[in-house]
Order: sequence, then C-alpha cells, then structure tokens
Amino acid sequence: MNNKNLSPTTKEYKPRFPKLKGFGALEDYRAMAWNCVNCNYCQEMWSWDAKSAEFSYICPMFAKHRFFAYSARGISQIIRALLEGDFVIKDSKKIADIAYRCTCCGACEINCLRLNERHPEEMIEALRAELVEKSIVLPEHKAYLESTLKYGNPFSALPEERLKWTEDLEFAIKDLTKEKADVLLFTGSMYALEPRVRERIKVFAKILNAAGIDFGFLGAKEKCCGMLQLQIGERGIFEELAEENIKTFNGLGIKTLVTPDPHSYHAFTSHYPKLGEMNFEVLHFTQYLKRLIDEGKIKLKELPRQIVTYSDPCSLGRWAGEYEAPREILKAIKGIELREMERNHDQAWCCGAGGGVLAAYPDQAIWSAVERVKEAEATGASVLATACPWCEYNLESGIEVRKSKMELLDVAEIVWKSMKGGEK
Amino acid sequence: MNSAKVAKVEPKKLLPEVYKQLEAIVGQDWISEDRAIVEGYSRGLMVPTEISPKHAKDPTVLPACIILPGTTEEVQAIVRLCNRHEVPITPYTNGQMFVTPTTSGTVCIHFSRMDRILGINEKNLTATLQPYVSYNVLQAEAMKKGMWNGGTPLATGICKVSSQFAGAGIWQTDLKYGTLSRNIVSVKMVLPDGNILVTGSAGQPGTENFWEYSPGPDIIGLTRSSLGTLGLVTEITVKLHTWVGGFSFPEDVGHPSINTYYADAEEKRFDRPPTPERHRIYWLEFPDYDSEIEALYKIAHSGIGIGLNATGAYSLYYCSQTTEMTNQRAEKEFFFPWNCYVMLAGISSVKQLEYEEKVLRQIAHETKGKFLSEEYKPEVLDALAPWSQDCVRHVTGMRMCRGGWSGFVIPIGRISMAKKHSVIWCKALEELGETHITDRGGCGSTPMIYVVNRGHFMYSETDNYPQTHADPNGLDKVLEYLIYSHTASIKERIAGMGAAISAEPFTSFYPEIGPNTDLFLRKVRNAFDPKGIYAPGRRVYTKEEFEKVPMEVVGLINKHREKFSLPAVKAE
Repeated sequence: MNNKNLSPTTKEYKPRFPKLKGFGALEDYRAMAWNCVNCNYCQEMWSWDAKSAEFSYICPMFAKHRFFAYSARGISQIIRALLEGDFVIKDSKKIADIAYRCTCCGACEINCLRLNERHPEEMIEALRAELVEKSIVLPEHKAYLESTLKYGNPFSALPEERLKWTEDLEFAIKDLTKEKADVLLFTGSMYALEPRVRERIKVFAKILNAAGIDFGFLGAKEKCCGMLQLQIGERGIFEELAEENIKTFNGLGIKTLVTPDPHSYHAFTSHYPKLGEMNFEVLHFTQYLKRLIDEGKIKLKELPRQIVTYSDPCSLGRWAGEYEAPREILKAIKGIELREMERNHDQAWCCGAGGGVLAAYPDQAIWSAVERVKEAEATGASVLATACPWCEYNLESGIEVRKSKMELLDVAEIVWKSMKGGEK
Repeated sequence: MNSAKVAKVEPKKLLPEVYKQLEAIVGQDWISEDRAIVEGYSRGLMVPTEISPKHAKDPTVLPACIILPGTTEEVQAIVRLCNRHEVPITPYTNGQMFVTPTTSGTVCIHFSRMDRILGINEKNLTATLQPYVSYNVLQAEAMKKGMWNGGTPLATGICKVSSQFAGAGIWQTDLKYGTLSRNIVSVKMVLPDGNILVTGSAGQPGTENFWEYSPGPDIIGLTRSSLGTLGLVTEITVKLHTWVGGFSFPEDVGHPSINTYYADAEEKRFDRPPTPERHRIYWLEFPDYDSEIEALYKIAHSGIGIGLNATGAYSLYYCSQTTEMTNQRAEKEFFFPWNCYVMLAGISSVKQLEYEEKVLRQIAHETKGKFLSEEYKPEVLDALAPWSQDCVRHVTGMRMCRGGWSGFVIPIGRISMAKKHSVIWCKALEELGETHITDRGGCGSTPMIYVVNRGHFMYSETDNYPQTHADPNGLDKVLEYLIYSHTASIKERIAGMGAAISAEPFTSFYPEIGPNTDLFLRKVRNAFDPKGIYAPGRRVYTKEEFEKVPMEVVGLINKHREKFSLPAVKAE
C-alpha cells in the first residue's frame, strides 16, 4: 500500500474555502455520522444484485485496503470522533490518505441512501473540505488547484491547448465567444487537454457536424467545470468557476449545452443550480445522441457482429441517473449484442480514476481499472464501451496492464463507426 | 467544526516490540495503530452497553491496533503472540455487534482479507468458506450449481457466514431449513491458546468433511453460539440445499440514482424485484391475531412452503424507500397488522407449487385468511414487492436502522407466545415512553414472527430506535426497555434471546431461567482460554468481569425484578 505520510501541518496551500450554499460543513453531518449502523453496504453490493464471489465489492478503496477506515463506514466513525473531540486531525497520519483514496464514485452513497437515507459521500467531501481549510492538500492535488487558478484547467495546460484537437478537423467549428449557435459543445478539460483521450472529442464534433447540428464551442475560453476541484475539497475554486461559467453560458444564447464529460454534466445538473439559474438545457453527449437517433438525424448502419459491454461512468449513472441512453444507443445498432457486467447500473464498479485518485494514487486507480477489465472480459465481449474521459483513460491503462485483447471505445465512437457503415 | 476544548479519547497502545512482532506476521500493509484507523472498530451498533461508552468517552472501546491476517497460520501466530504477552484479542467480520473491545489495549483481528470460497462439494451439498464470505456471495456461487444455503439471516445477506457460528441467525426460511447455525457441518478454529481445533468428521484424520459430529462429545455444539467467545473461526463448512430458482436472481425493474432517488422511489422505479423462478409468494391477511396464529400453526404443520413470516408492521421499513413514507404508512396503518406471507418453492416440480397452493388456499379458508391480489388491496400487494427477493437474500430490513437502532428483544416460544410478548412490549412502551413512533411495530399490531422448523417454535422480535446522536439518554432508555421486557418475559415464562439479554451480565441475574449455562461456560472458557485474553467481557464473563458490572445496571435490573415480584439479585 502506498501509505503517504502526510504532515497535517503543511501550510503551503492557501485555500479559498467558502461557506458554500448547498454544501454542508462537517458539523452539519454530526447526526449522520452517529447514525452509521455498520451495515457495510457501503463496501459490498446490494444483496439482490450480487452474482459472484469475484465481483461482489462496490467500494474500490475498501476492496483494495480492507481496513474499515477505507470505507464510508469507517469514515463516518472518524467524522463522529472528530466532531465529538475524541481526537483531532493531527493525531492521525493516515487521515488524508483515507479521505483522498475515495474515488467519489457514489457507490456507498446510493446504498446508504437506499437503506438509511444517509449521504456518506457528502460527508467525505465535507471532510476533504475541512482538510483543505486546514491546508492539508496532497501534492498532486495542490498542482491541480494551482493550475486551475493559473490556467483555468487542472492540467497545467495553456488555454490555447484547448484548440489543439480542432487542428486537423475537416470542418470549422463555431467559436461561440464570437458567433451564435443553438448548441454549445462543452468539451471538459480532460477531453480537450489530455492527449490520450483527445482524439475522441473529434468524433463527437464529427457526429454533430454530420447530423447537421448548429453547434459551437468556447475554444481557448472554456474554463474547467470545477467538479474535480469540488471533490478535492476546494469549494472556493469551484464556486469561482461555477459562477463564471454560469455567466458565460447564459450570455451565449444557446438552447442546449452538450458535454461528453459526465463530471461536467454532474456539476452542471447537480451543483451549478445551487449557485445560479441557467437559461438552457444541459445534456450528456449520450442523451443528445439518443435524441438525434430518435429524431432520425443520425442514421445507424449495421456493424459486424460483436459483443459489447458497457461500463457506467459513476457521474453519469449512479449520480445523475442516466443509465439507459447509452444502452439504448448500443442496442439500436444492428450487429451489436449488449451484455451486462455483473456490477452494472447503480451497482457498477468505478473505473478507479475519480475524485483525484488517478493523480494521487495511480496504483490504486490502475488496480481498480484492471478489476473492471477482468469483469468486462468475463462477459465474453470484445468491446468495452463507456462514455467518460476519465473512465476511458484509466480503463485503457487497465487493458494495457492486463494485456487484455478488449477494445475500449466511447459510445459515440461506436455510433460513428455505425454511421460510417463499419469504418471509424 | 467546534473548536471548543473537549477531552480526547486515547487508545492504549501495544508495547512497540509486540507491535513489531505482529507486523512481522502479516506485513506492514495489514496492520495499523493509527488513531483514525482504530476508530473504525470502536463502536458496535445495536447494544446500548456498546454504544454508551462512546458517549462517556471510555477509552476501553478503542482497540490498540487492527490486524488483517490472510491465513489460518497467520491467525494462529497472532493468537500465540498475544497469548504470550497477555494481550486481549477480539475477532471482527462485519462488526455490527458483540465486537467492540471492552478492554484497553485490545488487538482487533479483522478477517476482511480472508474472503474466498474454498470449495463447493456438489455431491455432498456443502461449501467450505473463509470467514469473510458473505451469504450473498455464497448464495450467488451456489445457485450457479443448483444449490443454496437455505437463506440469509435477519442481519442481512452481507453478513459473513462464519459469524453465524457465533450467534444463531434467524430468517423466514428457517421454516424449512432450520436456523442457519444448525446448518454448519464443521469449523476450523484457532483457540485462544493458539491451538487449532477442527470439529466434526473433518477433525478425524483421513475422514471427509461431511458431518457435524464425530466420536466423543459434541464439540461443535459447545462452541457454537458462544458469541465468539471460544475461538476464531478461520474456515467454516456449511450445508447447501437444492435450489430451483435459476442461476441468478431475476433483475429488479429498475435502478435508483442519487440525484433522482426520491423521484425514483415515488415513481416506483426500483425495489420491485421479481420472485425467483419456481418460487411464489402469497400474502394473507387475517381478521384478528388469533386467526393469524391459527393459520401459522396450520401452514407450518402442513409441510408446505419454504418460508413463513408474519411481518406485522415491519413491512413499514422493509418496503418503504424513505423515512417519510415509513411514517406516513405507520400513521395510516397501510400494512394490515395481522398478516403473513408464505413462500412456496417448486423444488420437485411445478406441480408441487400447484399442490401447495391448493393446501394454502384451504388453510386460508379455514382461518378466515384473505389473499392480497390484484382485486383485493392491490396497492398493498404492490408495495410489498421488496420481499420477493428479500425473503431469500435479505437487505431492506436495514431500513429499520434509520435514525439509529439499538436494542432488540427476541422472545422464543410456541407460536402463540408472540401475542403474550406483544402485550409486554405494549406495557413497556406505555410505562417508559417511546423512543420513536415506529417502536410500536412490536405492539398494537403483530410483532415479526419467524416460524421455525415446521412450527416447533417461533422467534418474535421488537426493536428500539433511539436518536443516538441527539439523545445519549435514549440509550439508557433502551437498556431499560430490554431489562423491563426480559424481566416480564421471565415472569411470564417466555424464553428470551436478544443482543443484550442472552449474554452476560443479564443471564446471571435471572436465576429463574434454570441452571445458568454461563456458570458452566465460565469453566469451559477457563479451559479454552486460561489467560482470559479472548474477547474479554463478551458472552461469558470471568468471575472478575462479572463482579465489575456497574451498580446502575444491577440497580435497574433489581428495580424491574421487584416490579414483577422477583427477588433482588447481587453481582456475586
């Protein structure tokens, strides 16, 4: 285990921690912390859904580390003890390690909500906010946060790099800071800036173009959605980004914002409304694709027979409730047989990359991805489909590490293949 | 966070050389004495005597360290080392109750790494498991081979099968398969002195692991249901039974999400799983308690069905996705009080189902039972949908824990005894006051009644729901409920069982219940655990531990003993 010995006395990072509307402080979770009943459904699958011994855990952090502290149950008790003054943060060298190994996948949240109407994931995020307030920030996250303040994205990339994916496109995309369009394609920082997944954003644009959609993007002016920063516990940066983005989006005159990044979708639909009204609809790319297919704007052609399995991105499925659009799209393509993994929908296993884990604990992130690839292989599928840049980045690592023969594709890539009659 | 100065709770640490030796056994990744890590093992759920010390900032509930062994050999090495240094140890699987340390400096042995199914024997109908295998997992794997373990315990399917050795798990399918603790073939356990004991036929060299007995005394019977006092189970072999419900459970109709949870619940988009193949559930309502009791006797004795459960008002929790829904349904008496469900399985054929249904309809006719159907109370039948899979693999009962749950009483007896206990519980609530509106699930309507072994006896159940975060005194109240109910039950000659009353110190304060088995087990424990290191302060106290029972508890017991005209007792 990569046990980082984090000194709680570090003061290098100056937080912008606000008392943010709609987000609880740790103190607000006192009752919830007391009311953890040690049922362990934050660690393992909903009973009715368990299908095997191999794939029965739902919390990647617990499945890897096996101490209760590395689960919502343990963290609830830690929070209770902190609130009751039984110990203070500096008494533990592991507390940041525990808090930040969580991928914020929400698996604990859905089971605990379903059984006891508790919100353990919110508690964990409140604990992270408390740590940030005390300047306890992991070095990798500190880099994310400082880059966000400097460049508007967490990846230390110059804003102009957001244009890179458009360089060899065969058509021009409207710059919505200069002209109008019905649809804003919000790429998200990961798709726009991470070379490993950047090619996919071209596919999204090609589909919109082929469907005749009047769309554009913000180019170098796009700012990060702030979801990663919020999950890390930096509510101040999130608030600044959210307020700026809401203002920008509202000023564009768009009817629809479409994003292929479920984290952005989750931020826009779950958290932005707490900070301001938005005068347009927000859709994830798969939802928009489904609409275009239903409206006949996209024609799907038969693909060679293949078995595909779909991995629910946590932010799209478990958090935001969109389980079916990606599945319905895949089922609509002739030649594809969709097979579910054992852990699917609300009980899906996280790819392992979320919540800042990919940067801070790559070993855990890859382990989690390998577990998902194993599960995908067990379906007999040759294609592992998903709809999230973080999942795609990490699951591709999992495929590499495992030397799997599976092909990782975004749902939109499969649609594009189908539109082109089998060619990518 | 409130920065006001309050007293910290400091765990007692191990001597550095002891910690190092433990670390050498499992490796540094699998042991920790970090303050945050040990906190996760400091609090039980349901027993007020376990939760109360947290309010009192009692450091004895904090373990010195947590260790996660990977093999029986590692467990043995840990136990031997702790024995040598006289360090107390306590085992942990899911850790819901009977686990919180009671002695400073305790080493918690958490079995979370030992989660493999070691083998399923299809010819002999058994499965051999490491201690962290859950009922869910065992069932899932066994079903693929046309078998299952006969049900999950009340404590939910996520509980570990090995825990069943420590206590007697109960569930509605005990009607056919008997209590789950009676489905154990053998265990391999590390005794508190570090020796390994293998029970049953497996303990004889060259003999297969097929039967729970072996020549000589019934060792498994002695150690079973000792609440973990007599040894650490590192392997358990359990009986399997024929399963005809398909290779996996049928899928629920839908899936909830976090942001849409309440709308999903309102629109009934989840929690509506189909019944497994060749299984049927029938819900019956009765005009009064006596008709229900008569029906329970008749159904149990007829030989039909694999599960029989009078759910009473408990469906309020099991089948309500939100607290608001639970409370509204409680207020409207949405679920009729005198009810039961019967689960039929077509084990031999589909015609078996048809035959058993005919028998059930005849019994219903004789007892004035009415079937819920699409014509009669369809909305109630619809709301009861979660039971369709819960009856086989339990989970939604955990909704009883909303807002806190502490202390339950499980009287045992003839089926008709449940009514008597309901009266006791009603009186307890009237006299002591409720901790929550839904405490009345155990009275005024039928309590949960599990009919066991074709009606040879039943378990009933009543629970308390104190708001533990807001009202520490609520726990004291729960303790008083338990003492009240137990004392009254003793007076009424109802056998008691429950988280707080089937273990010390309560057992020894009620000499009326006959030869006190704990006096005998105290001697047995001395033989198994001469240094008294294993789960001290658990099921069976040492003489010294017994003498340390707080005077307040003794006073409370005597207060109620006097109330029910029983002579006072002393802690000696």
